[in-house]
This record gives sequence, structure tokens and C-alpha cells, in this order.
Amino acid sequence: MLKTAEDIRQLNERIGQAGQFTDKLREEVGHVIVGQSHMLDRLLIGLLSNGHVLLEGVPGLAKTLTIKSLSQAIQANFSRIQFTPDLLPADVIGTLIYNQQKNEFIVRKGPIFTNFLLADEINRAPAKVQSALLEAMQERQVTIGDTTYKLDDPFLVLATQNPLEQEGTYPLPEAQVDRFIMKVIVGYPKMHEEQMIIRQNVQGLKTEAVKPVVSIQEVKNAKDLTRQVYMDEKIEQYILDIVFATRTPDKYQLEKLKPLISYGGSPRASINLALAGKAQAFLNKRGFVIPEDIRSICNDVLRHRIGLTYEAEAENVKVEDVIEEILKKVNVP
Amino acid sequence: MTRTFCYRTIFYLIAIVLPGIVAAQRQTVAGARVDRAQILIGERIQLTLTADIPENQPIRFFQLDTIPHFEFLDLGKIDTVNTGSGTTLTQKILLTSFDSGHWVIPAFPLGEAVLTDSIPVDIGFSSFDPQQPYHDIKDIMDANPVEEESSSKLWVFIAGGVLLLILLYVLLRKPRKEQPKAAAPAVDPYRQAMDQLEKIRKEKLTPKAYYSGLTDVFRVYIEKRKGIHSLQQTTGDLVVQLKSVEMRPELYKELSETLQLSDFVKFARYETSTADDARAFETIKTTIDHIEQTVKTAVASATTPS
Repeated sequence: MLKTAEDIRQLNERIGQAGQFTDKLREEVGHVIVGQSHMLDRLLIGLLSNGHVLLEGVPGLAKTLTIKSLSQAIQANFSRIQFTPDLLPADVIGTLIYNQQKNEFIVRKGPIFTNFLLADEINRAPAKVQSALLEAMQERQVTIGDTTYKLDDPFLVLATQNPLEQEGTYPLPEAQVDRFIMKVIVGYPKMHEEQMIIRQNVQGLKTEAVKPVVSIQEVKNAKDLTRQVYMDEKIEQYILDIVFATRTPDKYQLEKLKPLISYGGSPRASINLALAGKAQAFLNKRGFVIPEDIRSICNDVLRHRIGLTYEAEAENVKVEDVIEEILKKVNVP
Repeated sequence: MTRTFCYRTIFYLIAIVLPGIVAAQRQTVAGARVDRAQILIGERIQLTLTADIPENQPIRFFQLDTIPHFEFLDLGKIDTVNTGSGTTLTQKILLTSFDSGHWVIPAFPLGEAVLTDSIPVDIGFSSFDPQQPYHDIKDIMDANPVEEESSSKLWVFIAGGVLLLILLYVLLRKPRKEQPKAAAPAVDPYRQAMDQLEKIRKEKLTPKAYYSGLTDVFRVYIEKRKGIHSLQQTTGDLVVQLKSVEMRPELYKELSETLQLSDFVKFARYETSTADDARAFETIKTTIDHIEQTVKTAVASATTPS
């Protein structure tokens, strides 16, 4: 625990040096991915804060390519599971297979044994598969037969959801969505970015292969440093005010939000705001968290943790609108 | 002994034989009666039919269709009572007649062998003396007002009049001027800020409390004086918004640096020198003075006639 200003100053310096790996990553992934810097930043926050990220966006927004490129740039293993209605838990975590020659059962590990796991269209698999994955995400270990296996470190699950074609899907329950540190809405690229994408794909511009520029050890060190980032009690209070305002808006002079919110953020919301805030500070090469860090990640951390009422839906009020109102009302320390 | 024996034998014989005799004698009884034997034309008469049917006999009742010279007004439901030794059925029928004369309600058969009694009924007119002279139909006459009724009406009129007067008074009276509430003494944001700054200067505060106090004083002042919602803004956002406030560039730069320094002290335990503290204090005070002066000048120029 940091005690003095000197500790924080030294941490600042160390983060300043260690944090350069994020620049290298951005640059390397930027060779392949045009735009989507917001998504890349959120993936890095997930990586640094040891959390998993849920990505929601229409098909064709380079979600898979970004994650794949990130894993290549980190020299990490990458697996992808396309979730379908007939998928079984064993297809994700692995199973025991009988070996006739050796006359014994051998373990066949599933694709979950990797550093970066892309769970594509997670809402298309039934609840038991989702549950198996989400449990592994939480425990960071998997039991096959009688043996428990620890998952790799870093272990980052990036699950995607397609907001279209919702028929025949199994939407993640609130309790399970809560396990993702962030839910990132992946938007369309800007016009000039899309122009670059056209050129890359149509005019035959050669895309560079992503080179490994960061080692897993560097990532682990960065995660350790992120944990040490100083968070003052004033920032903690700010986080608590924001989360409590989602639960009891009337106590923050937000009476108009009361009929719009059916349930507010859980304690996990506060924890994840703090963790993501520290990671955001690290990305900004700072050894301490400031209110700007919390505000910048508020939408992504809270949007899947606040339930809206039918009244809100009828009035076309989105979760982001609610969060914005709360941020406008809660005093900054 | 012999006599006693004889009496006992006779008693036993009676006790054994008599119920059998009684049971053998029980048979279906049908009855009919009316509540009045004489009515005027159109008056009602109630006919009650009863059938007392012993056990082991089939249950049956009268099948009525019409009664000559009589009209049915209401055929009541048949009421069944279990008497223990049989069943009693009762039906009440309302009749009337529009034929004057002496008529008989005939006997009604119940099964083949049982009949009710026939009942004579006189249907007559009201007493009428043809010797009396005829009188024209009278006009509608005014009812004589009863003394009590008129006095109660008088009271109603009096009460209504009083109510009307009260209503007129309420409506037409001049609205009383509301006493102006003792207005809370308006606190001048500038004065308040200066008082707070003076308090901060005098108190021995920790660096964190000192810089929190300074920024809070400035934020509250700027919110009250310029309407900028500074309390809910981060330092970065506030610095951007302060560009819209008329200020010398050097002062703006110093203020931005002071606000950022405050963030370092508040969130990163940055240790400042005494000179830093004095400079921060002076910057906040100067900025508030400057903004106050600008506002006063603007107000004065707006009120001065051209």
C-alpha cells in the first residue's frame, strides 16, 4: 500500500516506463485495425485489471480481428469459440477421452485453455454452456474429471453479442452479465477511417502482419503495477456516490430517475469501477486515479449493471442517458 | 293375578296392534282453503292447496290449468315439508276475478281418488247507492299549507340567505395583502468566498484539506456568480469551460495550474512547499477578485444611461 507522496512519485515513474508497452501495442495493432481505438483501450483495461470484456456490436466491425491482433502483438495464445445452440460445456472446457491403446482416459483440454478467448456470439449458446464459461471466468480454473486445472495467466475472455437477430438466442442473465468488468458498445468507424478500410480491402493494399512486440511477462508486470495505482479515499467516495445514485437516485436529487431504474449497480459495480479506474490511470501513465479516470469508464462499467423499467423503455430512455444524468448531479471531489 | 294377567295381555295386544291399524288407516289427504270468501271485483284472494302424502305413497300434486271465473295472478312454488311420517306439499296461489257473482272454486283431484273441497266465493261490487245524485269531477285543489311545514321552510330560507351573504362577503372582500416573508438575507457570493478564504488562511489545515478548501471556495463562487455547474465537473472540464470567462491569459494559466496542483495534492498526496500554498491562495483570491470586478463593471455599464 502506498503511504507517502514519494511512493506515488516512484510509482508514477515506473508506470511511465512500463506503460510504454501500451503505445507499442496500439501502434502494432494499428497497422491492421483502422480506428476502433476506444475498443482497443477497453480491451487493454480488461487485460490490466484482470477482467473480462463483453463487446456488443453489429457484425463486421473488426471485433474478432482486433482481439486476434492484440493476442498476436502480445505473443499470447488465442482461441475462438463460435457459440451455437448445440454447443456443450465440454466443447468449451474440455473432457476426458478414452485412449484404447493405453487403456486409460486422457484429458482433452478445451479451447478455454488460452490467454485470449474470443467467445463469439455468446448469447447463441444455451444457459449451461454460458454458465460453464462464466464460472471458469470467475474461478480462473476448470475441473475436468477429478482434476482441477488452472487457466493461463493472463486470461482474458472477450465475448461478443450481436444486437440484431435476437430470435432463438439465450440472453445472458443479469447476474452473469455482471461478471464482465465492462460492456463495450462497438460503434461504426468514422468516415475517413472507413475510407482507409476500403482501400486496404479493395485496392489490394498489403496489410502488415502483426508482430509480437510485447511479452506476456511485460503484461504481468503491468498488471502488478496497475494493482498498485493509488486511489485516494475521495475517489472511493466518488465511486460510491455514483453507484449509490443508481440505487437511490432520490437521495441525490435525481427523483426523476427513480421511476426509470428498476435496479441499480451491485457492489461488483463499485469494485469494477475502482479496478477499471486504476487501469485507466495506468493507460494514462499515472500512478494515481483522478475523477476523470472514473468518468471516462463509467458508461462501459455501469451500462450492463443498471436495469431500466418499462417506463424508461416506453420513453426511449437509455442506460447511457441515466448514467449521464447521474454524472451531472454527483459532485466531483 | 288372573285379572292382572288379562290387563297386561290386553295392553300388549293394543300396543302391538294399534300402530298397525293407525298405519293402515293413514292415507293421502288433499286440502284447499282461501283467505277470504268474499271479495270485490279485482281484489286478490289467496288459495292454499295442500297434499299430505304418507310414506310409501308416490309423491304427486295438483295439476292446475284454469279456474272458471278466476284469473291467476301468481302461481307460488310448491313447498315440500318432510313430516317424518310422510310428505306435505303446499302451494299458494294468488287469484282474482272480474266476474261478479257467486262462484265456486272447484274441487281439484289429487290422483284418482282424492279430491279437495270445493270453495264458494262471492265476487261483488262496492256498495253503491243509485239514488245519490251524480257529481262532476272536481278540479285539483290546492293543499292547505301545514303550519309546521311553512315554518321549516322559513328556516331553510333564512339559512340560505345567511350562506349567500357569507359567500358574497368572501367573494367581494378585498384580498388581504400577504405579509412579505422575512427574506433571508442574500449572501453575496463574493463576500462568502472571501470569508471562507480568510477562514482557510487562519486555520492550520493539512495540505489536502487546504487545497480542497481552496478549490471548493472557487467552485462554489463560480457556480453562484457565473452559473457554471462547477461542482459536478472534473478539473479538466472546468478548465475548458473557464475559457468562456473573461480573464487575463496569465491569470487563466495560473488558475489552471493551481486547480491541477490541487488535484495532485488531493489525489496523489503531492507535498507542496509553503510558497506553493501561498501562490495557490493568491491565485484563487485574485481570480475571484477579478471575476467580481468584471461582473460589477458589466452591471454598471448596463445600468448607466448612454
